[in-house]
Amino acid sequence: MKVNLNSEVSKDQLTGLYYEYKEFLIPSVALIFSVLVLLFFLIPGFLSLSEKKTAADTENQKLNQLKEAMAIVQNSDSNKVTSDLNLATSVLPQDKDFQGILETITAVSRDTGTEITNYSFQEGNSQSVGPLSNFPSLTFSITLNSTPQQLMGFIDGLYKKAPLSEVVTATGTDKTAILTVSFYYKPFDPVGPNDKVVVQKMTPEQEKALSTISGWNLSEASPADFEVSSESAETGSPF
Amino acid sequence: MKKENEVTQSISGYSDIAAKIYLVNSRLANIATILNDRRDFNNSVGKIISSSDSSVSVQAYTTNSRDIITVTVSSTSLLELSDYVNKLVELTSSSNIKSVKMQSLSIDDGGYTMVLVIGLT
Repeated sequence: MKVNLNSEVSKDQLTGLYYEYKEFLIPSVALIFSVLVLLFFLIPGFLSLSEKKTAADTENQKLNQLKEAMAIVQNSDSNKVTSDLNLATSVLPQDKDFQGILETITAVSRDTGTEITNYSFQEGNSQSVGPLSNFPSLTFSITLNSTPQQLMGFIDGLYKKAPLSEVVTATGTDKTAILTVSFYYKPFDPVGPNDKVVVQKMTPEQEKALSTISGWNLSEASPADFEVSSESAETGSPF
Repeated sequence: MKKENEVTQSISGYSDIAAKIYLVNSRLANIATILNDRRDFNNSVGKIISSSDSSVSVQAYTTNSRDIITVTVSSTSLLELSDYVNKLVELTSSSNIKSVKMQSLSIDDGGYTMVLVIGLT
């Protein structure tokens, strides 16, 4: 049957077409429907599967992290944590600890039998490159009456006291010495209300650092100095 | 997500100790960095000075950078000075002393004076 597409289609012609092709109608509609379902539902769904899996993995990771944090917190001895915090903060203070520095210099000088004849200080880091350039410091120039051997004892003493120090330069004779010493400090990193911080187990490096500074037998700062206020606990929530 | 909220809720009761644990860990990480990277004087200048004995005295020393120490030593015996230099050379295998260079050797009424430039790793 020939159909002239340019001419007006009559009702009879349509009926004729219907009867001629009616066995193809239902399969055609089913095929079109299947293609549409495939295009608009199955393929996008399949494509989003990997995204959903990634999201689920991330959530699982978060949940495991939280569970681990929960276990760490529940198994921690509050007094020990406070004591460790006091010790760590006395070794690396939040701010310039002039009193601590002067007490340390005086104590080490007394212990090693050296005599401090002069000292001066300036602010700023003596290291312009390397990992220690990130740490602010107070740099002291110390003049001593000491033999080279006494000077080594003095430096050794300084290195085992709080706050953490580093001898940057040393110049001397058999009777006197001039040292440039950086005393480090580091403010706590600010934590905003929306920042997520994670409580984790200590790394081996952190454990080693704690063990080293514990071996120095330092007297701790007052525990009251580091009470975590309810406000800071809210704004800087560790979760 | 529901489980996450439940755990978060239960931990929030421990926020004080959790915050302290976080601060301790953060502080210790910084302390570890400084302990690992600060200049190890005892293993360099200390060994150079302690290698001298009663027959060789350290007259002067200067170390303005991490990798060089200049030491002036004196002795009445040239042989003792030689032994001292040998000791330093031996230390290159067990300490952070990298090189030993004699810059000058002079003689006066009091004996011999030698200036050494010692390179450190």
